[in-house]
Amino acid sequence: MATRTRISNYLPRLFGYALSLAGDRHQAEDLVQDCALRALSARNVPTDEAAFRAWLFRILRNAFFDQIRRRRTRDAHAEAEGEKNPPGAEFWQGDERFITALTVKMEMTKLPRPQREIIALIDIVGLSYAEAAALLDIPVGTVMSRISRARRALLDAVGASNVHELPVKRKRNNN
Amino acid sequence: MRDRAITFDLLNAYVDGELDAAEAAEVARAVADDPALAHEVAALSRLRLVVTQSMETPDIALPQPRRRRRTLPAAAAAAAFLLFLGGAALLSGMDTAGTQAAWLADAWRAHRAWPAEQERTRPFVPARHAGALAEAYVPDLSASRLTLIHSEVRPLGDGAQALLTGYRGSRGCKVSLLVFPSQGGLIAALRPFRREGQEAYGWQVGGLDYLLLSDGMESRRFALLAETVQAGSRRHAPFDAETRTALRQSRDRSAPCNA
Repeated sequence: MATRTRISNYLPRLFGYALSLAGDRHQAEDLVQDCALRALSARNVPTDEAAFRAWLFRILRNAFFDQIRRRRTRDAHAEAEGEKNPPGAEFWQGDERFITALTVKMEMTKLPRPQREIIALIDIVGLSYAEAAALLDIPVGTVMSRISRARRALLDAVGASNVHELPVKRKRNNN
Repeated sequence: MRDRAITFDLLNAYVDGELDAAEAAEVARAVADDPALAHEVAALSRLRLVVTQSMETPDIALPQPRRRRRTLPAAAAAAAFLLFLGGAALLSGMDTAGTQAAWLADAWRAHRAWPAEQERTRPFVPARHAGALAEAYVPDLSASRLTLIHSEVRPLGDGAQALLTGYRGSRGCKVSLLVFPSQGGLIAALRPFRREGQEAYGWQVGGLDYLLLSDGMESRRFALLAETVQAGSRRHAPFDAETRTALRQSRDRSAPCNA
């Protein structure tokens, strides 16, 4: 399969990951373009699909940090925030009905970048803990605790949110 | 009785299918015995599902890599044509410095005057500036790696007020866009100007003149940029994905402005 087609297959997940890193849709699109350009220009492309996926997402991550370095605006505070333990009890006691597409989308954007990133890698990209650990160059145990903290933070934010999706009225079928 | 504490970390790993068979069975037993844990697992499972489903992917056009020498996209071809037009205009002496109108001389001065080295970035034009020419189109040129860092309203020509927005690139580029009530020297089509290593393109849209100025930017890249901004000013809309790709590639292929 041509590299172009293989990259196209990952576009939604690449965009999801890029959005988690950049926090902005336009920047995320640019990141995906940058990643695709680098991948298409590469001389050696992994043939194994798992290796190809890891390679592709690493390119995107490197492209993001290259941009950060160029802008010299790396947010050390946000980095640190991502490692803090969430407040409150260990388990989440909120109402599950609050977990809607609208609230999750809203609250995801407010999370620190490392938390958005790990959620994207596990839930959107579909990496295993071991694959995410290899990509982020951290131990698997750290991935485990980081995804746990990130989801807890997201659940807390969603639980605290008062925005709910309105129930959709379904038309009665008169037949 | 649980063999060990069921932590939130463990529940996440359980939901993610990261536990081995023995661990997963242990957690499953605990969840079956404890409604609170069952609630946690349900919430985590739902969160995973919703996160996955909440992603809306825009249409993203894959770029062409540099080493593949294929036909240039239409926008780049148009830029080459504009470059040809610019060269023809230059050769014919149509827009040399000696024949430039007062408003054009003012525009060059305005372009030189604003400090490109200022640090503060301005992601949007302040309302007090944009309000002076409410219909003016101010493009986002980030796809070409140009950041909007300056805006001002200044007099131009015979008492007209011009909105000047200044963009800075990461490799020494400086671009100004001036928008002002039509002075009669521009038409809807792009008109190129050259002067002492500086380039400009002007056009008219809806009673307003637009003038895009740069110094040091590679001509081909600048021509594409001018054509893109002109098209955007007609539509008054952000650039689409294909245009952003063309701008990005044009920038990546060009030499730095400070080279």
